[in-house]
Amino acid sequence: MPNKEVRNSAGPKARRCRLWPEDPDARRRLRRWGFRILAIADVTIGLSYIVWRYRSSINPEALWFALPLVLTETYSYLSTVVFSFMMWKPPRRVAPPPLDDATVDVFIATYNEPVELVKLTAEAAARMRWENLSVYILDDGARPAMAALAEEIGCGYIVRGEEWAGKARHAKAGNVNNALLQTSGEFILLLDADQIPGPDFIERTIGYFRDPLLAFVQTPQYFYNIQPGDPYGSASPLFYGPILQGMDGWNAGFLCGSNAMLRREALMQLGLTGYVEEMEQRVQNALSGMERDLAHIRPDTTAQRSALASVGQAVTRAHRALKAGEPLDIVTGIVRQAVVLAQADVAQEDLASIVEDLRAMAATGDETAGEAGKIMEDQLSEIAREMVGTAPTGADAVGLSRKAIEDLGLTRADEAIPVSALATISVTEDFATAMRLHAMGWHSVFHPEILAYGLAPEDLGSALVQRLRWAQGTIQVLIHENPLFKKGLSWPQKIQYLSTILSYFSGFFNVVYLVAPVVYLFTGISPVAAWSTEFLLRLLPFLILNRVMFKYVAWGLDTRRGEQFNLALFPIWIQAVLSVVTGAKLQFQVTPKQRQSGNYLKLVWPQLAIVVLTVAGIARGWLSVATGGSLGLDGVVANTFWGGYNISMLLPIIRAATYEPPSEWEARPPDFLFPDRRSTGTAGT
Amino acid sequence: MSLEYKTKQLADDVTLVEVSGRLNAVVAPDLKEQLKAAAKSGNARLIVDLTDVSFIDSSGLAALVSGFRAARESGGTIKLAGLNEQTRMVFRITKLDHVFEIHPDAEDALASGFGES
Repeated sequence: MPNKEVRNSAGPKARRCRLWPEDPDARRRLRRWGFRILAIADVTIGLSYIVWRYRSSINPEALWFALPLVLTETYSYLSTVVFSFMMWKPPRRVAPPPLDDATVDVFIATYNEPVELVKLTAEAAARMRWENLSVYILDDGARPAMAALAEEIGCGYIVRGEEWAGKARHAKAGNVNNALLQTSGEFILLLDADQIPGPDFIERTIGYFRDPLLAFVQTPQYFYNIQPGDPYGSASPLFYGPILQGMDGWNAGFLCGSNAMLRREALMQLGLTGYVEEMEQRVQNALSGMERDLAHIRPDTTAQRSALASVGQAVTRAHRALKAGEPLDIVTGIVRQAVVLAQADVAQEDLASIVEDLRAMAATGDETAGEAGKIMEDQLSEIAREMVGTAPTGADAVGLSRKAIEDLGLTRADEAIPVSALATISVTEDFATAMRLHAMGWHSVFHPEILAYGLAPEDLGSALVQRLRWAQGTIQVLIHENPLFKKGLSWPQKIQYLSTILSYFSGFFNVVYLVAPVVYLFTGISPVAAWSTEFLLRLLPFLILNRVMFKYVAWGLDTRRGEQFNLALFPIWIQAVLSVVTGAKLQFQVTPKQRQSGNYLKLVWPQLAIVVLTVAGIARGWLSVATGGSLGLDGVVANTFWGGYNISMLLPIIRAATYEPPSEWEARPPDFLFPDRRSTGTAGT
Repeated sequence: MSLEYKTKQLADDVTLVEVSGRLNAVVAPDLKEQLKAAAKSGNARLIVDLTDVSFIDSSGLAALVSGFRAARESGGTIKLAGLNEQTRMVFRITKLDHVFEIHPDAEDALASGFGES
């Protein structure tokens, strides 16, 4: 049976305390109130510090330096406020008894992962204790070896059909959307190729779906291949514990793409309303575009003039019908029909002028032309209709854009399947999908128990690619669907989503924190009015309380690596913002699960540069103090501490660039996942 | 559970499709394929009569949307008829009543005409 130590994601420390009540609910209440007191104190003291900074401690002689710093501090303070709010009321989740008779489909999404890796996952999925269970391998690589594996295990195998040829594939979201239309289980367990589920995954999560409005249950991602010391900061215990629990308290939990149970009905409903909304938007745009186009087209002939006039009238009528809430089928039918009639009129007039020409040729003695002209004249309207048939959109005849007419076809011709349940607006499909589900009024649950065991990237390059993708995908959502203006989200949900997106803008602020001591130590220019005792007395309580609150939330979890990487990954966060804002084309990159060996120092040159400059700055500062230079002792002491802290935060990622795991180290999924296994197994390395 | 699906040729190249039972995820793939096949074989003007459908879920709706798309691509369309209270409600919830033309019965749908295209 599972090892309890592995399965508990919360820290064990507090349980030994004698004052600590036995009843879990009493414990939770006590812990909550402890947090709230700390949070109120922290936010209040922080406010007084920030106000003082703006009013009395900005260095007016160096505003170019003082303002960025105080703005950065304001950003940090607001993050603290939002964090306090987020953690206000985490619920206690106890797995409810399983639902009877529910049908469950397991989707194992794979693109290029090795067959042996998928085999571990698929076999474990098939072993899960559940009666009505169907396991599917969703193979976006369409590999024969994977098909053979599915047959060997006896599970389903789904690849993209011919309708996807030449259409946008939408990576993992497209893969799952495609499978949704070919399967029928009421619930879907979504797994990445490397996430091996425990035998009780379904039993522990499905009971929550007694709430008829529950859309998904997310569980933590746990990685069994984290190398000693977690060099790449993959474990994220704070995120897959207290943070998601806090968000759960506001019904604003995330969907993390894997290790989640979803209700099919919720996903399909999301896909359908998305389809309708997009169609309405497209029809609206197409009609407006046509109105603009029609105003600019100068007709050459009478037929064209009357054709344009009748199309114009139809567009106006369609617009009115759309506003009146008529079905899009009727709205678009009005214009489509007018275009077809206009097209036939234009064709008929064109043909009539051809007949004229042929007649003229006949008059000069060309008998063949005369005969052709006669035939054409006799069958003028039939030929016109056939001509129309060869140009089905009718756009060319009246000079309208083809795109507009296509959009009126309501076919979503640029997409392989009309209904996409998982959002495709972003390279992180899960974030946008959860937000849309919440906006539709669905509920979510974060169940904080480790129920699946997967792989984290095993080298710095892959880890950074993954972080970059998450950051880019999340920021994309801000551009396409700003949560602040998303109808249906509650205010706490808006705040959660927005603050998650904005947290990726921290890269710019981190640079200020990292560079400020270097600037002071080299130039003597100070961002604050004075490095005084008052400054310390105001700053330190805030910093210390902040620290205490953070540690309290972490409740014994090791969060050091996460904090270090949050600061040290500033180049990634900046790159993500810039690439999205400049509209660079983003690709969904499948994170490599095998170690790509090599030296990654070139990936961390900005961090390395800041460490070198800080060390040089500290040396210069103390030299200045020793030789009676321009720098004051108080400023050098303060900036030495500050710079030293920065160095300590940056060194781990620089070490990670050259990290090699110990030679005897190997990744091993927990043995209880493999009841038949006697010997030790390895995977993914 | 399998899909019950009957077709009848009406005037004007219009095909009446009578579906019955529960339109859920189990029968949705089948319904989608039938509608697509009808549209592609030249019967793209369809009236889908849902009088004997007791229940539709989102998967059933998605199958209708796929069929609708296939019909529009072939120059026709799908009109719906005979919705009961539950089925009408799911169309309202998903706002699909903003897309489909919905008629009380098949005769009414036929009388509304299928346009020139």
